[in-house]
Amino acid sequence: MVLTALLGAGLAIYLSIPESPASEIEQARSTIQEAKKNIHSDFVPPSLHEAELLYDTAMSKWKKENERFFLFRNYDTIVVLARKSKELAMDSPRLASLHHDDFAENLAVDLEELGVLSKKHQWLISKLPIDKRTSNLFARGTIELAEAYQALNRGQMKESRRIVDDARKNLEQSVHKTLDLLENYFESFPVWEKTAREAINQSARSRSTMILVDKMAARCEVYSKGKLVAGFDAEFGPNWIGTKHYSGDDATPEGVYKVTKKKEGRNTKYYKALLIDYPNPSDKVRFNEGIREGRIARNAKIGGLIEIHGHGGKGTHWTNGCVALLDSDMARLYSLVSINTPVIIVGSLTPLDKIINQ
Amino acid sequence: MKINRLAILPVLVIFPLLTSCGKVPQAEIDAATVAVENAKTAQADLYVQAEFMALQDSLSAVMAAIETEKSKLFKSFKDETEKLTAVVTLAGQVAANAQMRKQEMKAEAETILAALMNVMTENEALLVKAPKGKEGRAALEAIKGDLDVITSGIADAQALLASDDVINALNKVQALKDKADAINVELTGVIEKYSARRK
Repeated sequence: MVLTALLGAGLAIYLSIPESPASEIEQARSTIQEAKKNIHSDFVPPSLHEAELLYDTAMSKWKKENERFFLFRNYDTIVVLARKSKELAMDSPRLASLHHDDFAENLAVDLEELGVLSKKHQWLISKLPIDKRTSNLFARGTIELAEAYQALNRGQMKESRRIVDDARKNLEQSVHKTLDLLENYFESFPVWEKTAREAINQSARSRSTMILVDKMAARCEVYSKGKLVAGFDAEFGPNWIGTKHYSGDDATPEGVYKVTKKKEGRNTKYYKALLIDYPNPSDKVRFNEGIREGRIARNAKIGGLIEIHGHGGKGTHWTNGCVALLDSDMARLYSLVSINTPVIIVGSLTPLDKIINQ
Repeated sequence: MKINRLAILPVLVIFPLLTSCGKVPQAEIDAATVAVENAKTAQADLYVQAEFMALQDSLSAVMAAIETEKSKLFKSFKDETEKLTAVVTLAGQVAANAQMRKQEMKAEAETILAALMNVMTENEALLVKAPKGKEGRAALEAIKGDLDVITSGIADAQALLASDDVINALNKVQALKDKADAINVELTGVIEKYSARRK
């Protein structure tokens, strides 16, 4: 009888033990683990965070239930939580992938776009006499772009995005300022075009020689009887955007001039030189207006001694306003021209949109 | 009376069975939890991500196994205790690996930084060597500006290293070095051009 009672009690106890949620918990745990392995740490979706939270809650409740006397344990809620956790974890890689793919594509597009912007404007930035702040912004932007690529190569996509956004700000600001400078300068383009065309036509009509200097192209060309007969690379003053206003402004003048003197040997330290008649009447009017309007200091001088001379070929704009050519080119030019040869100096013969897109 | 004693007997036999058999290895659980936290403090989640994830999962698996045992009538935590000890060992290894990886990256950043400083010193020397006067001035003004930006960047990178942000420091110094190298080439070219011109 005792034995029967013992067996009966044992069976009753065995049948009363609630089924543990071990299987559901294990499934949730392994699904979360698998999802985390397949999701980039920068793109963990909210669903996976929620899955982990539900799992932690299930474990906490399980621990609490296990502290109770076995007959009073109830694992139903834990099973529900574990199943929900698994469900959310299972869908997480898909959601992460959607976000990741969009993000990665946008990042790649932006990196490429900024790379092109940087390369395109590197040429302009290096060519133009822009202010130090603009130049520094561009330098900072290009360094940040390189840094963004480094971050991307290490799998730091969000960090790469942050740096790209900084790079974009700096690059676009510097490009914007540079384009502003150019757009203001190129307001004179119609005048340059007209002046050059008229001079070339006059060269044709009078069957004479003229010199045409294109500052943006950094070229000095010779026309004879309206036809181009020679062209040389040229260098100007560092402040070459815009015409000359006064002595010491490091600007190369723009306008219609003529050769007033030919110098060589001891008469010049620049191998050979062609002195031009800067300042012409327009230059004088502009200078006086500048003084009157306070744009030029009262004690400033208009300057002079602007020449086309040798010792060029330095790869930069370095003169005080003169036009510098390689000695060999200067020798040729010198032989082609004479006193009173017209010298036309313009900003550009190529329109701005073509220059920017070249 | 005799019948009452006999009726109580099954309960007296069974009850001890239900309440004994295996204590939860709380000390080992605490040790394993602390060990995993220490691995996180060692930035294992940053430097050895996959290893750290596997470590966390190992601990989760053992904790689930412990609750599974607690759910049973007859409990034994022998296996779980061993696994917890293994987690502690693994956590130590993961923390060490993280520190090693971090030191490797830090050394890489410092090597690049040293090389960068050398290039910058060379660039400064080239600037001094460059043609004085108007001939070199214009070209070198722009380069000087770029060097200033790099110098400022070096300070940022050093600050990142000092604050233990090694990965971002490494990204920055590599980008700065590339720029400094490009400037070195440019400066050398400028000087060679002017020197050739003088000959």
